[in-house]
Amino acid sequence: MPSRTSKRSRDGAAIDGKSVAAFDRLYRDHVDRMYRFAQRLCGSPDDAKDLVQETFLSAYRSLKDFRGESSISTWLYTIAAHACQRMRRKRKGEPERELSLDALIPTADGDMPLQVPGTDLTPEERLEHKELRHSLFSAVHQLPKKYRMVLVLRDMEGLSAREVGAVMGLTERAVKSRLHRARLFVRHELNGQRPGGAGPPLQAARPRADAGRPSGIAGD
Amino acid sequence: MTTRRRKPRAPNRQSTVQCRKLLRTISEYLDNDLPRPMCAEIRKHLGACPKCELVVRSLKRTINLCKKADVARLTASDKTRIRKEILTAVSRL
Repeated sequence: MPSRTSKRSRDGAAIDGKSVAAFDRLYRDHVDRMYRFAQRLCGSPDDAKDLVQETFLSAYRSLKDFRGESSISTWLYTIAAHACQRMRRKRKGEPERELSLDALIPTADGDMPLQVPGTDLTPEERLEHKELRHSLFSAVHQLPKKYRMVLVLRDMEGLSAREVGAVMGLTERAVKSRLHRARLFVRHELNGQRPGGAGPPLQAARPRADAGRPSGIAGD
Repeated sequence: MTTRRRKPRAPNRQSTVQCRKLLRTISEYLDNDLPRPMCAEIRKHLGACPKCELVVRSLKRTINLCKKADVARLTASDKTRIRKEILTAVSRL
């Protein structure tokens, strides 16, 4: 309940000491995590800062509505995911693309024996190499956004498939399908190879009539 | 002295079908999301198929890289600036 001295913004968010204190706690506890997420998602630090600002602005406005049905971090991830979509629509980027599973699965007649570079080193050692880190983020940023979001939330932020589904409004099945495609895509990019050998760049944008339709084992 | 090169064998069709089936489910296998009998079947195939084994190993490595990949932290001055801008925006609305 706002105090007598509190005022309200036009959208109903209270601006008083109590609300600001609650916001400050939220901000202090979660800003680092949200910035990490935003950077992994956006790539550029400036875009990540914009996303953090949008996220916490939206969080301030809806803090009073948070009922604790999900963890506060899942709630913030959801707000950030929506903010990211809004920002993307404003920029009128490329339309969302589909990743074809058939194009990503290695075939038996050529590109099966792919390896992530530097198999003689442990992942931890390789990660110390700036180049590999750059390659990884470059590969992640070539992913269409809906796949990137799943990969970042699941494999980088460590959310469960169920939590990713809650954040993105997807079934667990759809999360797993997108995750599998995203991982295969990143693996290919890290190898610097393309399905089918020396062909054109990986067909991330290859449209498929059946994209997003249930397709047996790994369909959406 | 010339050495005779053995002609590469055409991939066994049944094996290829098994490979493709396995590679469609491999993320779930690595995430321990598959039923035990399926995991046993996959392990059996991997033991007999070095190509699939290599793909699985590189995919596992890719996932580990993602898990370990860290990014720069937000500076204290940026934290303060963003907080201030949020509170200013809220008071203007």
